[in-house]
Amino acid sequence: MAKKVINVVKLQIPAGAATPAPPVGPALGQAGINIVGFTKDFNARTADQKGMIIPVVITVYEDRSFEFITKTPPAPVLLKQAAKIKKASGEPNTKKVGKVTKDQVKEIAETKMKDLNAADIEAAMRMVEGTARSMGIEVED
Amino acid sequence: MKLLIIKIDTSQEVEDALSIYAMDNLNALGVESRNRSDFEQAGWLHDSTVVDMDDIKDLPKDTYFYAYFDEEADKDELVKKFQEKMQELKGYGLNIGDAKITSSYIEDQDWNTAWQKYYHVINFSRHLAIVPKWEDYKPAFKDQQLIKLDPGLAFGTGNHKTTQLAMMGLERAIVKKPISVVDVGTGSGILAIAASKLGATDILATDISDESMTATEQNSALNDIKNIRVQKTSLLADVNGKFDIIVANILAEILLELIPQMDAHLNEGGQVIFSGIDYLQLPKIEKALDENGFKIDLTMKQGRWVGLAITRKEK
Repeated sequence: MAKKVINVVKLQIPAGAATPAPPVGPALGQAGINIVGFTKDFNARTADQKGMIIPVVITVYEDRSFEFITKTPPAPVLLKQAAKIKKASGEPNTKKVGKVTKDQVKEIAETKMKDLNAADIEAAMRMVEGTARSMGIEVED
Repeated sequence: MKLLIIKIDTSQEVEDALSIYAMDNLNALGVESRNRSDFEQAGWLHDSTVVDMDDIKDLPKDTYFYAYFDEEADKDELVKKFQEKMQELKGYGLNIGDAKITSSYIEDQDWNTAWQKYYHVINFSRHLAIVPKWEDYKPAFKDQQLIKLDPGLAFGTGNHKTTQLAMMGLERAIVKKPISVVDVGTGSGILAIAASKLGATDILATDISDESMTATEQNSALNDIKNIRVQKTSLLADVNGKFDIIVANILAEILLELIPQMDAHLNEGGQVIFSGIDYLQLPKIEKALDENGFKIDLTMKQGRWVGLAITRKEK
């Protein structure tokens, strides 16, 4: 249908629980997207993953119709699960809140490899490890 | 009430770390990002989608990260904290890009209806008007038919030139004649609905996407139309029977795949309507039509876009 893209927006939304509150409302409202239509469809498509935060990439077309794809949960969510913590540390340098092993970092890097746009697994691991340290999670060998 | 938006021009490497920092430690209301790689990938991720990078407004060099806050939040303090976080992330060997931080405020509004300002009645012709479901419209002509639409998922809101070209072709072909129509790549179902409103009696709408099937069924129901069948398939594959009109508003490359399938599905004296052709692609389409026994009766143009009315060559 000669569909020309005018915008591509990525949001992180709880599975099955999208509402017009920020970020969905302002991000998609400004892009001219039918928000009720989006939330209904997103919630239906992610109903089985309730409790997870899902990154969603929304492609907006010239006539302001749209399509979207969902991705694997963000690395910080997977790191929290691995380290069994609820919240990232506010002072990651001084206050450590959890630990993960190098193997766990590798596993997360493998899961997120495609979404992180990393050149190779080492690059993906470097990103996941940096994210972990920024959250006050120690990485052990 | 207003929302504070902090925007950071950065790299995808630190997007996850910034997101979790904003949500867990700074109490952001939400985060958003735009990755150049997502723009690059959109073209092959979705059917018939084209991305012209030169035409995208404010395309990120790598990544734009946005965090939303209450207007009461201390803007200067937040900017300072993000600056410190960026330096910390740089210290872990991560690429932080330009690390330019800006802020702005937007009015927090009823986002459920904010987008509706982009859609209005399209008084298309004396026979057809496209009316968004929340607008009231009184026909401008006595026999003008209204197409009610809930614009959203699936292409075809009536705002696009290619949709309008295809509707012109349909209008010319079928006004008030009892005929059968197949709409190939129906999207929102708008052309199938237009065909029904113009008097077609038996309509099939095909598309390869699930969203399109749902949108077409919903929009048909909105118009109280019962003579549109939907079939999820690629172009005319698995479609049974012949039609008086084949209409397709698809990219030229896909039309090239459709052309060889048309003869088997077009009734004697039938007509084909194409839209979605960029004028630079027209020679390829003309050649394929000629090779498959078809000729062009009418060429319609809107800017770069070309629509065609096509029939079989006389034997």
